[in-house]
Amino acid sequence: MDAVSLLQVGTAFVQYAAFAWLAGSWCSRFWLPSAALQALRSTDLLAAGLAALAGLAWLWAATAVMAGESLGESLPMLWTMLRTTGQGAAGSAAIAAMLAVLAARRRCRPRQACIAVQGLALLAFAVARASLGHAGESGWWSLPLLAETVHFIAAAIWSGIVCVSGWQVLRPATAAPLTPAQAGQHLAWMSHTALAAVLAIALTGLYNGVERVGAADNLLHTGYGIALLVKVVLVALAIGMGGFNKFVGMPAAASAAQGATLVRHVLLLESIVLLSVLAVASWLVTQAPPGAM
Amino acid sequence: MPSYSVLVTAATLWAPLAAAHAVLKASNPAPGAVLASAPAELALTFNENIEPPFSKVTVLAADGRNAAPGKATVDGANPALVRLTLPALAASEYTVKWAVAGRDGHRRTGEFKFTVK
Repeated sequence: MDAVSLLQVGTAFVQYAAFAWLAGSWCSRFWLPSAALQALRSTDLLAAGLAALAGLAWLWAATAVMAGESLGESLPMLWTMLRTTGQGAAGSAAIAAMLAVLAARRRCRPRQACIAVQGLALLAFAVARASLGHAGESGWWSLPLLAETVHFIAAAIWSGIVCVSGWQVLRPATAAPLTPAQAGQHLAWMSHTALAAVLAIALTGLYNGVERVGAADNLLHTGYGIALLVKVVLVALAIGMGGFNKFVGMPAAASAAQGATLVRHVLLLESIVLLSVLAVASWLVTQAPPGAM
Repeated sequence: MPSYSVLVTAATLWAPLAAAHAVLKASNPAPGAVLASAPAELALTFNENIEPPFSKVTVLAADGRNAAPGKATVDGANPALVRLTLPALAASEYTVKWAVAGRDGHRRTGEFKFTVK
């Protein structure tokens, strides 16, 4: 993989992971106590800042890809790319949306207003990122772009709430540890939200998958298809971990402290698997889907 | 939890934000065409809209010189159509080299030949 591809894949992954974190954190605001939300603030700011910076670097890499030149050679074309191309407009909108998230998370005080502003900014980011793909060609008010946006958001929510829970909310050394009752409530809401996200992924993925993959034979005989199969294994693994936590971990956590530790450890493993899925998706976005060729 | 089949479907179809890539669907002259008279224009039709600043078409004569020094333009009414006005081409074999970036940001290149008798 050359420097341009590496930058494009790497910055796409950072944007996906940061958006997932922010989506998970945003959802958690509907049920977490204020102290726990406050503890999420610094990581939210970091995620939004990283996503904005990664968005800028992504635009540079995209310019190099479009021009067929090295990163250095393509730099003078960056402004032209931003001004005149659909990729430039959508990529800039994604950065602006992340800066809005950053500003709102940093300054905003009234809680309901904050949730609304950040939710709208995250929605704008999702639409902008979704429009960067094939779905964007169908226009702003089209079913393909709607399906792509919902798909992107659902995947981010699933990954995000798992990461936020495992890495921060349920961490014993966190600045605002939850009581057992609060932790149980959080896990229950997390489980319901993840289930809804998985169902949304199934519905929109069915629509997207038929268009992108085409014949089933393409799954086995193209690099794109094989990478998708790798994702299948990873996602199945993540679903299995989620199921284990729901039916084994969470009942155990309700009765003993060791159960809560088990749940968190499984969440950490699940988060790594889901981030691996995002990494594969970041690579796949640079490849040609066989169904579209 | 949803049923196993729903979960597997979700896993299988958790498709990335993938994009199509520009593919040359048609051209006039066509690849390999042998023409009795020189064409006035080269027209390339792709499977998706093309970004003008990042698209280039060159026509090389058999001796390697650039036979069409003009700049290719993207059709205003159909952004998937790229046109290049040709000068009076002498009898020869010509190689068309194209490099375009699609609306999805991906770059594709290709080439084909045609002959003027």
